[in-house]
Amino acid sequence: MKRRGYGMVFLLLLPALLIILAFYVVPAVLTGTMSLTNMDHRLSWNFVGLQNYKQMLQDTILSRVFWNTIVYVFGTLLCFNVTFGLLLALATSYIAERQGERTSMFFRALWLLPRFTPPIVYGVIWLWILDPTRNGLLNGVLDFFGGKPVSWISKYPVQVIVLTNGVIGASFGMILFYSAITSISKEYNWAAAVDGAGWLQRIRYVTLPLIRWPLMFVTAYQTLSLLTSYEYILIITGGGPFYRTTVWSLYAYNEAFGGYYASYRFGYATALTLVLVVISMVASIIYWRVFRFREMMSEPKIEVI
Amino acid sequence: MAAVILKNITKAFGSVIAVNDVTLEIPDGKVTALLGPSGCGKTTMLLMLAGIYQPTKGEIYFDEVMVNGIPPKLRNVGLVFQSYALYPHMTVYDNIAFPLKLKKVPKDEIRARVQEIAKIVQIDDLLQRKPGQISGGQQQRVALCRALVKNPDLLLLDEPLSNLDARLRIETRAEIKRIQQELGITTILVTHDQVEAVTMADHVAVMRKGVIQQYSTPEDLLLKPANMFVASFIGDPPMNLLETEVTSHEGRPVFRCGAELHIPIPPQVAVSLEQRRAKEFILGIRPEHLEILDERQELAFRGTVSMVELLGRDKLVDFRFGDVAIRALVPAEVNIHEGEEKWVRPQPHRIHLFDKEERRAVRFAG
Amino acid sequence: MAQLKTERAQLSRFSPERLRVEARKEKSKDRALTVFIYAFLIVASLPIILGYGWLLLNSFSETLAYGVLPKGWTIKNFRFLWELPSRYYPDLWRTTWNTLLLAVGMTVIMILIATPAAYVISRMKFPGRSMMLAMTLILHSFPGVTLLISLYYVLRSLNLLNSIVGVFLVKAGLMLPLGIWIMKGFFDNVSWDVEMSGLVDGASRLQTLYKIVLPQVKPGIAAMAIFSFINGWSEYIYVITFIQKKESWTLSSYVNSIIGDFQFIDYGLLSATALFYILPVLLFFIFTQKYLMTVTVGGTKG
Repeated sequence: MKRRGYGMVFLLLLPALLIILAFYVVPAVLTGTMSLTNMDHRLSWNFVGLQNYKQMLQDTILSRVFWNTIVYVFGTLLCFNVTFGLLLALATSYIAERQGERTSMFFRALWLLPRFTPPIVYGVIWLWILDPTRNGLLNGVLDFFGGKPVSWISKYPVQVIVLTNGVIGASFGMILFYSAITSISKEYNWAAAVDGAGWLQRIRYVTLPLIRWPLMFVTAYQTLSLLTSYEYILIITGGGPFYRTTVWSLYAYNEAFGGYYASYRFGYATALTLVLVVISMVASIIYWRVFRFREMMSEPKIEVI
Repeated sequence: MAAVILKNITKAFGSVIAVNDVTLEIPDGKVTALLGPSGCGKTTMLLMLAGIYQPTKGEIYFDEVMVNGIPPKLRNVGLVFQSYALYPHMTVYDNIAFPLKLKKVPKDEIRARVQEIAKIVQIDDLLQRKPGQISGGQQQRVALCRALVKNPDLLLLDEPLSNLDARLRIETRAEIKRIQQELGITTILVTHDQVEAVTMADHVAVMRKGVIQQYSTPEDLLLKPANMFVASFIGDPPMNLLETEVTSHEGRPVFRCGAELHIPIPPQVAVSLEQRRAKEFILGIRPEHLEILDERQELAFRGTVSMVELLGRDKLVDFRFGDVAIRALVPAEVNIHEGEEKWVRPQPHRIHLFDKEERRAVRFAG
Repeated sequence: MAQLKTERAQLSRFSPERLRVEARKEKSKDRALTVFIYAFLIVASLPIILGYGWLLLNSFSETLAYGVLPKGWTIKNFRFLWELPSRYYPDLWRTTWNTLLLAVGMTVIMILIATPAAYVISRMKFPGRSMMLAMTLILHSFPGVTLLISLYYVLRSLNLLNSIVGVFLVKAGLMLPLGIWIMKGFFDNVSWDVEMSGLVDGASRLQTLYKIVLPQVKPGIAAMAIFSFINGWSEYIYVITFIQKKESWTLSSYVNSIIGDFQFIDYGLLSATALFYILPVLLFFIFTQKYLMTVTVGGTKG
């Protein structure tokens, strides 16, 4: 009886397990192994020990990449994913409270749209907005006021990648903060009103302290997301001009597949990515400890199969 | 302190009318209760007084000043919520000090006032705790402090006792009453609990479906219910309400209820009933206004005890007459058993009659 | 005590004039705040409004004055629908078909493979369960970029480079743990009491799954399915990295190529192809965004 039961469990899990094993677990193990080789496009296993890691220490570009990553991750995080997401959540919750749910919903949907747009289409939109000629939005407007066109991407590459990623990143915080804010009991808001707090004072003394956990969660979670995101940078600046917007994960990608600077240095690239894995893992452990991990692991309450 | 006057107040949420044309004068320095079942519009009234909701129609006055459109922070009201709504991240001290802090009262004055009010409400030893670390009764007092610390003209209490257990409720009831009297503050209390309303308030407004049913002293609520709703809502155990017809039986005027029950009509009631055209009413007698006798006496009727239930200090005695039943409440020491034949006599002054259609009380001399 | 009382006596008198003035002040402050908040939202949303507006307007117009104002309506930007932009491009409909295949494949995987797995992990007790949960978490910290290189190796060994099936399997492998994790959350929310009462009423575990549990998580599964469709449809990085052969292109490769070839020459063509690509997503988004929001939020659990 029991045995047949586990058979069913196994059967339901098997397809998922097989795919995850072949396309997740095996590659993960391979990545670790590859980082000890100097594999290139010929894909031969030539073990070189810790050579790749030593190379990292001497890689002069990598130190630039490191600082780029710091600026990109924390710049985007603080300006957009947390702060701007919070502002959007506060503004849309204000509108939901006073003017009605529909208008608020419209703005939230608007900000969610980029998240669901194919990355390349999102890229097209920004390439147009930032176009260095008068055909682009910004330069078109500048032209209208008699200004000269600016090559936005080559002149302000870091700001561009922070902005373009931030517009997508803000929606995550917005959705989470919005639901946290609107689930605060009405009585707190009324109490604050009776106590004499205006909207801003209510935010400062009541709302923000009460959404402290979502704030911390978004900060922690989005740090990791940003650390490993490079898709939009790849599309919009490609990492340039001259490595100015190359972040760690993009550097690894370009080392492996990039046509611009180097390519097919698989061994070195995997070693680079493993650094990200270590950071992610440590961070994951920390925030799973903090954020209700045990609750998610709780045992099922029915033992029948 | 302020007297509060409501003139034709109506509040609608979309097509739902929560409060319907309420006119009420709430006296200065007294406790007034808004009593009614849940969903009757009493909390909506409270939130309109606080300025959180704006009335759809009508006017609210604090003394002579119309306060429609005045935001909560300018109304100088203190409000204690059902859930207390203490800010969980602030200490008790910070919770109480919050309204003063927002008014930009100087720091030492805040400290003095918080300590003074905490002493009156007797929570001065809890000031450094967080709301999560104190009991429900203590939280209730903290909420009261927060409402009182800004010297409000009006204190509003929303179901202040509903989250407390039975013993604590009695204690807190007395405590709030004491503090209110000490400070002499006009207080409006919203509750669904008649005992709470009757024991704490000087005046009670009974509400149902957004309409005031009766506004009177607690005594009048019990003794002179204005309509059947009030009669059945107030009093525990509830009033006996029987469909009845005024007729005569064996030569005497009686209330005939069903086929088997004939209640003799006291002479003074009979006189005033003679002048009325209607013969059918709803008869109401409170269980505690029925006397049980061993022998026949004037105005008594005979019945068989169908059930006896001991309720602590009292006994609830059921009589059955065909398809109508009537309950009496007698002291527990009265010796009475199921199946016994007894005589029952209503106190003549405590008989209520209600109009059959409009369900309003029929007033008659006596 | 005495002090408190005198103080109250002073405070208790309203000055009606003063009250009116203060109330008016509050009201205008409030109005200013509302105006400010709307202004903030509208100005902040301008890049999005203008960007997507441009996509639409520019696709149907000859040129834009000052980069914004459309001039001369036309459908010639959509000529790629019936002719090749240049002879190096593969057939558009074949490319669209490939994209659709990937999107539908992701949806099917989520429904047929992730849902049962999520159910088992959420609601059944079996040896190795907690180990599996822990594994999911460890895997979670292997970001996509890390696996890209070794996946390239795996695909080449399996001779699946340059094929939609390859990209499909890779994406499935990467999305399954997260998808299972999110759907486990949906199953976790189904009350145990309901399932127990089903069991007490004589249903087997499988019957309670179909009759009691599944109906309750249906909205979650629907959301996940839509999410997977959009995710597969929109895929960029794996397609670009693993597919060079033109017969296997998806619309991502197509638009990518258009950018390379026509960015400064023909914005009309560029926006029209981009619009063509985003259209199904846009429709899904407009009609199901309430669902999608639940996944974004539910997704935080994983």
